[in-house]
Amino acid sequence: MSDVIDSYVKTEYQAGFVTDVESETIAPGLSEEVIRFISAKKNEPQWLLDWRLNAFRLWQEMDEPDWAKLDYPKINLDEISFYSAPKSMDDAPKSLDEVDPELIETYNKLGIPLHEQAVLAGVAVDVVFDSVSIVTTFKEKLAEAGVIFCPISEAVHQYPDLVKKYLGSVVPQKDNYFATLNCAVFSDGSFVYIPKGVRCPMELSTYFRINEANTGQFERTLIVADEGSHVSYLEGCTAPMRDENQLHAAVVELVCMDDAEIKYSTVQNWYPGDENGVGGIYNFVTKRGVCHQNAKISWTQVETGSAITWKYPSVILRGDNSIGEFYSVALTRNYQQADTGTKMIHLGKNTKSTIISKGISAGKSSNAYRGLVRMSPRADGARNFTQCDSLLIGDQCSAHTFPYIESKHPNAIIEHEATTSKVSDDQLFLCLQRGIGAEKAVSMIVNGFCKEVFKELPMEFAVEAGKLLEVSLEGSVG
Amino acid sequence: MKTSFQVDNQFLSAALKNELAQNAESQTPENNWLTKIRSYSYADFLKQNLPTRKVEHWKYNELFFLTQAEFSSSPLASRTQSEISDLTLALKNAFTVVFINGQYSPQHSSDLIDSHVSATPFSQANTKQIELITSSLSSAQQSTNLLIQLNTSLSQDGLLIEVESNKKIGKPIYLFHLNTSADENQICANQTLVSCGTGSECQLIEHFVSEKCEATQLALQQSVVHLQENSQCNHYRLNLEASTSMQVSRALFLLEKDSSLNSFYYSEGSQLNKTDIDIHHRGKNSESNLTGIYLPSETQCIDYHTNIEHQIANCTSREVFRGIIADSAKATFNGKIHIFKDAQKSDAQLSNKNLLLTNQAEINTKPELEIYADDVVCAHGATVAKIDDKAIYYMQTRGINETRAKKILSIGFINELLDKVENEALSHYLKDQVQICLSDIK
Amino acid sequence: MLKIKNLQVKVEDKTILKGLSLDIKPGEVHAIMGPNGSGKSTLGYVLSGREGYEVSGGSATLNGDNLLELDADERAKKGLFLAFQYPVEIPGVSNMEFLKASVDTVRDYQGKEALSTVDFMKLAREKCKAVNLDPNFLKRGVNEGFSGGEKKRSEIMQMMLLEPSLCILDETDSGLDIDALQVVADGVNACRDENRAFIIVTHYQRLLDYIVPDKVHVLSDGKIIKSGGKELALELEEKGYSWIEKA
Repeated sequence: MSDVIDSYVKTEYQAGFVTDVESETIAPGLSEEVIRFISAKKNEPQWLLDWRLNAFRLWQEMDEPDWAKLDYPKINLDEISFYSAPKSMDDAPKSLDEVDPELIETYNKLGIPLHEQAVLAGVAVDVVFDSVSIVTTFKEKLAEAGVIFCPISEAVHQYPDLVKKYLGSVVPQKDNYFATLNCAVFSDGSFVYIPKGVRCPMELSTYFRINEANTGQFERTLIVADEGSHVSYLEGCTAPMRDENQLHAAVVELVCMDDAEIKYSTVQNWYPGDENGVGGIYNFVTKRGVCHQNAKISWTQVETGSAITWKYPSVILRGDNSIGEFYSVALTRNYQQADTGTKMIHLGKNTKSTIISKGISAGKSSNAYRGLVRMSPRADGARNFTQCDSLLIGDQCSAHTFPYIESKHPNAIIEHEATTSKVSDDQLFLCLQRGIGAEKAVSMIVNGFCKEVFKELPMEFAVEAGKLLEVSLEGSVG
Repeated sequence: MKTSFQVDNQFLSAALKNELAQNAESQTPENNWLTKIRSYSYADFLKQNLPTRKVEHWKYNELFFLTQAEFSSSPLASRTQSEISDLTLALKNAFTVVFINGQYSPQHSSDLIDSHVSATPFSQANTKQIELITSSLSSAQQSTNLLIQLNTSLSQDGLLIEVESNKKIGKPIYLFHLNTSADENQICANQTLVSCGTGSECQLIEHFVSEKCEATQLALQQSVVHLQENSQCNHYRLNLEASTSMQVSRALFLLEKDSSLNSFYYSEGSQLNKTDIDIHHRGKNSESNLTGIYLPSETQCIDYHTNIEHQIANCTSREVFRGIIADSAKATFNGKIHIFKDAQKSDAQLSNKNLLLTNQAEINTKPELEIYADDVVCAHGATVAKIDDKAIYYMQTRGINETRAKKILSIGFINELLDKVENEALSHYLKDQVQICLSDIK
Repeated sequence: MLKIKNLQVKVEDKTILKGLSLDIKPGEVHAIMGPNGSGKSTLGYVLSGREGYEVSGGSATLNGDNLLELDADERAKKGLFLAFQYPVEIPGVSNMEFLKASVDTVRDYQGKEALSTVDFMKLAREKCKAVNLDPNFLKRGVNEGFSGGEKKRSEIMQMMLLEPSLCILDETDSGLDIDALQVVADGVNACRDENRAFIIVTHYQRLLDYIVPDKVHVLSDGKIIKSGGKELALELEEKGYSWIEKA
């Protein structure tokens, strides 16, 4: 039976093509000059350049963290180019018609139609190709509702007060090595502002694509949901197959004001490297949100890509009665390594958090959940529930759980449970005996295992995630 | 990111450093092996720096205090037999082995003739025993805790306790450790090795007591229990030191094929009470069962780091730790289950439950799984909660007031684990102890 | 003995009891019947002082004392007993310890002398026997691992030990087989006397074959919509609750 499963996990990465677009890429290496170059390229105001340079100085004092359960050679930043943009973007397109057809073709290949009429009903898309935002759809329609959805480089000019106020307000400049690096060199990303009391009329979505070789991608996303507003945001990512490792170090900040709600979903499908562990994206991401009174932030992630994943979407539950949620499926296979989880910091009274994490390891991969639940001395009546399950497929992989639980309030309740299981021979046999093939059987079992998380995804993403998992699992059945 | 203090051995007094340095140079032929182990450990210790909170093992209890004080070696202290008897547990018919400030005190210890149990100082060990000691201690060297390395360096001797093969020892082996009061800061060390012979059965009780004093007594201790094939050991470790004491210790168990271990821990806390528990399943079909209770109050700290290694297939481990944290006390629990590659059919379960009584109290718990084999059943659960409101209400409807109900429920939460203590004298003693300890719950 | 006037109760902003009145005299047995969700269990909880039940109007007195002002344990001391539908399990606390604490407090309040451990054990064993429970159960954790029937018998046994003046039995018949039902009913009947009153909350008429009530009340949507003698229960059994609700 294990042969069937073995042969099954070796499907090729489907988003691994390279787009032939003429790009402007700066020489590898990082220095103040590079930062000044990026800033100048984007015609940034002085305050932002200063902010970047300050981050760069802080960063120079920092060391790359080594506490994660990840094993990879030290990243050599001298070999990475910190800025790359399609050349034709220099005088940015005013509409889709002006976008390089190659790019449009790229997204068509990815199954993300950019033409508004072709877009699935009710999803506005911002597209970030290498370091720059290419196109944002449905801008006008969103503007009618007062919703701002644009590249952050544009927001810096158009909404400087908002950006200045909130940039770095959730993830401080000196937060961690990769976040600080991002502060210094971030290229582009999405900016969202939902005004008071507005329910965003459609799902917002950003697709990230790394295309160029030897470049790092450092996008930055900032979402501000003002009092009583509501937004659902989706994020997807892919990259070509390349033999070398590429660095992706993003920062996402969510500000969720009183009574507001942000739902943030990610389907991460960066190139994971080949079956021998060659190539693949190094994904070091800092995602964090802050909830004010009665606010709610919900993170949902489906992680199947990247050679290395280092990612802990977190919620600071500052306001009383606020809610944080984290739903995660992380699948690793071949030589992939993931160290992912969340932090729920309960500061306010009656704050609640739920963590559901499903880790699936196959091949020779390593999959770790790392989480922190902290109850402050003020967190009267706070509650957390954590369920963390691991599924192992084959005897060459590993699964780990590192939950940190810290409480300083007698009326805070924390419950944490973790289990480990495998796709059992009995389960497989039952399926086979009923005429269900091994591949289908494993995919059914895995889908069942992840059900609690998938149901949190917006409909069209849930379908995508399920398919992605199915594809990723092909050949991993052992 | 600063991960260590550059203090090396500065917290050791000049005399102590001198003694350690001399040991490294002296090579008396008869105790050559012991000197060697000590000097190697000291060399290892010196290579390290004192960890800060950035170091995982010391995340919640750093060793900064060591930079603020100087410790000298504990002097030889003597106590009368009646002074000792006042402090020991009232166990019927136990083989008592007494240590004062870490040093074996034969005059207070039981006569072991014809008992099938023997106690041999390392310095008097024969060739076969030396082999046993060195092989067990070499397993013990792999500690992530640098103070345990220091313990080995500081231990001028050690005690080997052997339980004869195929013998069922009826009476408990009772290891009583007393640290005496002192006028200045002192450090004492002890290492004890227990070898449970093939097919043997024994009961081992380790009991730690200290006299209250103004100065800091830092007690380092390591016990290594080697369960040979098919042996059984019921082990108890009670930390009942004065609130001013500090103990950093380790209990290591090596489980060979078909052996079975029950290991029980009880601590009411002291200034710092840090115990590393390592259980290595080295032989197939070995079983371990760990139970622990911690009840710190005032400003005390208790830290249990447990590490259960399933190094081989078909082993079973169970672990349950519970704590009630009062006043401004702090408890840390880190429970790791590590399943090695190819350790298929491992079955490991861990549960940790905590009650916090005030909002100055603090609990940090981390149940960990590290799994490298797929055909395993592993689960852990951890909770931090308050006393169940429904149970309080139920008791109130039976006329019991809220304060009383909370007290009964807290004691019940702990007694559930004490009910499993097989040694009846011990079980009664601990139940009384818990009553006293939890008497001012409001 | 128990006087409830126009009692209104909210749970998390939802009104459950909407003006319930009831007058129970010593020695009487009142049955309260009603469909699921009518507020039957709420009545027992609010009278016994469970938290989370907010009284928004009306009053309830037991022998002249305002019940609603008292803590749950004070009410118990004054002679109110609630036999739970789902008694909570308390691992680690033995029945023996629990019952002794309970009996000691109640006796102390009543000005009775404390029982010695020996006398208490004797009494407890006797009551166990009366409800057909193995005396070994005294050593076990409170309700821990008990079967449904054991839990109910244990509740009745506690009632017999505490000798309350007002007993509220919340769906004590649910989940019991005929034999267990008989045991429970015998226990209750043995406690009946001219000074003690009972409220028997039940969904089915079955229990009332064994414990014959003086009065039957039908609770629907938080109010008593019909009261009558024991024959009302039979009529309900035959015609169902919809018969009265529609009327």
